[in-house]
Amino acid sequence: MTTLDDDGFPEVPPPTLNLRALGIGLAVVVPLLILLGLGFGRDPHVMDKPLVGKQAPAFSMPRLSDGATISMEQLVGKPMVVNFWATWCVPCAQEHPNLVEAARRYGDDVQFVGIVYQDKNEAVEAWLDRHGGRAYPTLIDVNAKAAIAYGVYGVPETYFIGADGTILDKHVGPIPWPVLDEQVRKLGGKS
Amino acid sequence: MRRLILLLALLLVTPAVAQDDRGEQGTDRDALALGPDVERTMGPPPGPTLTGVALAARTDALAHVLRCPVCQGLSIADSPSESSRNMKRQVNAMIAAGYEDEQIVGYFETAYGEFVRMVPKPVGFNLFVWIIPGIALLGGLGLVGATVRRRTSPAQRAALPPAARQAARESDEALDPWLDQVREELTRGS
Repeated sequence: MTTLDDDGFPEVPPPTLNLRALGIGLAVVVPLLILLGLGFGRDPHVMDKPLVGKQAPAFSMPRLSDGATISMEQLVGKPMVVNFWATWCVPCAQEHPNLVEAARRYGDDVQFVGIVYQDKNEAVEAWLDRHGGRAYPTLIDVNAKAAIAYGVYGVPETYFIGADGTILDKHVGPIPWPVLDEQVRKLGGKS
Repeated sequence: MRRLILLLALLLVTPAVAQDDRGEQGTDRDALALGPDVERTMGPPPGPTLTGVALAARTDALAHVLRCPVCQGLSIADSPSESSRNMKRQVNAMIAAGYEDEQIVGYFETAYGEFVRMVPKPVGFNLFVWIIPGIALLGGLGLVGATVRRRTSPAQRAALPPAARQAARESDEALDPWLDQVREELTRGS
């Protein structure tokens, strides 16, 4: 029989803890929270670098200056800095003076190569004239075959390749001078 | 009306503009040429070369399983970006040369990582993606089944043992004061 309280309402029985429901709820919620926590702990802007530590993909592309075909074999034997860039890419203009300076400073020890991505030859010529930088060879990546082989997401991206052809590191985005200087020194650049 | 016509014209023109490549195009032979890295990474193509409709159909099917690296959740088949078109050209060239689908996906995975697969491989941590929906479905079905079983019909209730019947009746009686209260308030309100 239900008893009534002072106000005439049925008395509500004291709440009891349903351990079974609690156990099931925790079993569902806790793994989801863990997954969420793992997801939040990861920076979505950090790109995978699956090629780091592996042999750099071979390439063969026309050189902008004279159209001569330049292949990877011709460049291996010396550490390399390979920079993917384009004239329509604003951050590429920001980092360009750093690359030119590094090529002038370390060019005897390290080979610098620019690979132009999704761009027209005339636009590249005009851009280089405007930004005053022909310190290293520029290759034209027709149909972006080299960019695909290197897993380029977007420009600029810079690869640091050892003398044996192994990719040692990759920088995504415009490369600041201290980072570039440190990476080139690691490759063996001596100013 | 004029605005509508302008909007329609814009919609018709936009895909054509979006299809313009910024990069140097090269010849048709360039498009089908494989880079020197392909054979070095994948070995020689095992299958026969392919052309025509069969090549286009396989390219399109495979383009649906590869993710566009510069888009949000789009395959290279669905993305109008230049990166996707270039990747699709590479897929086309590799199929034409005689590479198997899994080899081609592997080639892109070597460069871009597992991210490039639209559907993750069902191994390791990825297994959660495949298992959790099944577990959730079974759990939901179990919950529905248990709820239905608990809500027994009057005929089923009559078949219950006397002690269980008494408990059910007491449970109903416990609601009576509440129901009376509601009825009273409704009468007062009307």
